Amino acid sequence: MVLSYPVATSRDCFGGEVLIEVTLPRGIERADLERVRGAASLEVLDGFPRPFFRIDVPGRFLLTGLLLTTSVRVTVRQVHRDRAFEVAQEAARELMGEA
Amino acid sequence: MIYLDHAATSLPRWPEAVQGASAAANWPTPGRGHHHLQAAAAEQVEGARRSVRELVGFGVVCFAAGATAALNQALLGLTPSPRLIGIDPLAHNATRRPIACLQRKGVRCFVLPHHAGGRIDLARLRSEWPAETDLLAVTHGSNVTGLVQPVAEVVEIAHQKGAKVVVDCAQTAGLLSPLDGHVGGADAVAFSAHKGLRGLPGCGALVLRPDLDLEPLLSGGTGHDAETDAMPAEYPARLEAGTPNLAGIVAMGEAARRTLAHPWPWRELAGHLREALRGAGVALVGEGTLPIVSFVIEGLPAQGVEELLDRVYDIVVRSGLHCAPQAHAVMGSLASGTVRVSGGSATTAEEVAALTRAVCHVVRYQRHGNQVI
Repeated sequence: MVLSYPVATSRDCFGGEVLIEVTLPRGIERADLERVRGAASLEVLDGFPRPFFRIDVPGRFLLTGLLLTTSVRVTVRQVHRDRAFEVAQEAARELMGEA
Repeated sequence: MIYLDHAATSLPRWPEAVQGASAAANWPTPGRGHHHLQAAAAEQVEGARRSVRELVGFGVVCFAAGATAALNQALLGLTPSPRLIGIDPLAHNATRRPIACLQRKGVRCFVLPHHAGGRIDLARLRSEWPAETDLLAVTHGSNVTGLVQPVAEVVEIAHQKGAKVVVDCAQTAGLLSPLDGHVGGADAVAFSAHKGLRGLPGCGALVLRPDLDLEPLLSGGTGHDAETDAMPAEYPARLEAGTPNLAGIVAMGEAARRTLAHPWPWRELAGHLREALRGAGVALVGEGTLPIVSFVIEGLPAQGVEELLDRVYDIVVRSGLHCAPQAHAVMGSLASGTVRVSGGSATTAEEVAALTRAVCHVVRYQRHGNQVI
């Protein structure tokens, strides 16, 4: 079981999405990104000084962060904002191969 | 880490302000009782009041919980209640929302005539002045674009027409000193301690002319005139019910003293920031003279740019609407927001150069894709 917990939650300026910062139990590997279900796009921007990734799961969330670090941001879409924490946990579990 | 969110909170705070607050944490409440400890605390508060008064250059200094609290007091407390209010096109929600409260009670409101970038159109203001306008709520410096409004001229027109003027100086206090020379004749100005002054959050001031009639929004103990149910008639006691934020006030006074003694070349920094971002190939939103610059990168959401700068480059900026949707509506950026970069006295040329490199990198990614970075 992945022990993920939100370290910070905020709302975007437009009143819709909920941004949840999640700390994972280990650094994110490239292979972890493939586990996230329903991704319409998966980008790894490894041309940047730090390899940034972005996984868009339409209707659920946008998952962003840096490879090899333990901190990710789950931007939960408006439709799920009442259960944003649960969606963020689901995203973290999928990423860590626990779902 | 490169911190470029000084328009929200300017860092680092003055060490003397932090030390002053730390010392004040163990003082008793000023103005309560007659013992020597409260007298010493009261002297510290009055010393802070004198310093803030010097920073402003006019009026009575009433301490508040910040610029928002001060603006609420000025706008909601004005007696008699205004019939028609003119609001700045670039107003922050600290001004807009209290006025919206008044609108729900039947007070009418209009946006001041302005040019394309939000600068108040003085000629139209004079020629199209709506009858029954009792109050103008003006934003001295925009927290979105850095534009400084011609407040002194606005005040002159408003006073000729018989209206009062309340000015939000959240972004200019500590930069334009003394404020009096820039807001000439305004009836009240409001600002917080934690922005240009580099004091602590949770403290601010409403500085007003003593003939302005304000009904206090808060009633309570003041340490004197206790036998009556009414708040004292005189300022500042009239607007300072309850135990004051002693640490914040002492820090604000110290910050005001340091700010006055150590002006810094913020106009130069503002020019560098604009030049650097233009050079990086982004679209600037609006024009201003404060070190506050908004921009967008076509095809990239502002929030995404903020996150990239933060995570990849360790550069802290702020995206979104900056609590100023009206300003974004004027600038045409209401739907998407902008990325805002705001510098402070600690911002260096090297940091501006690093920002430029990072933004160039992000722009290249957007234009050419991952492979060319």
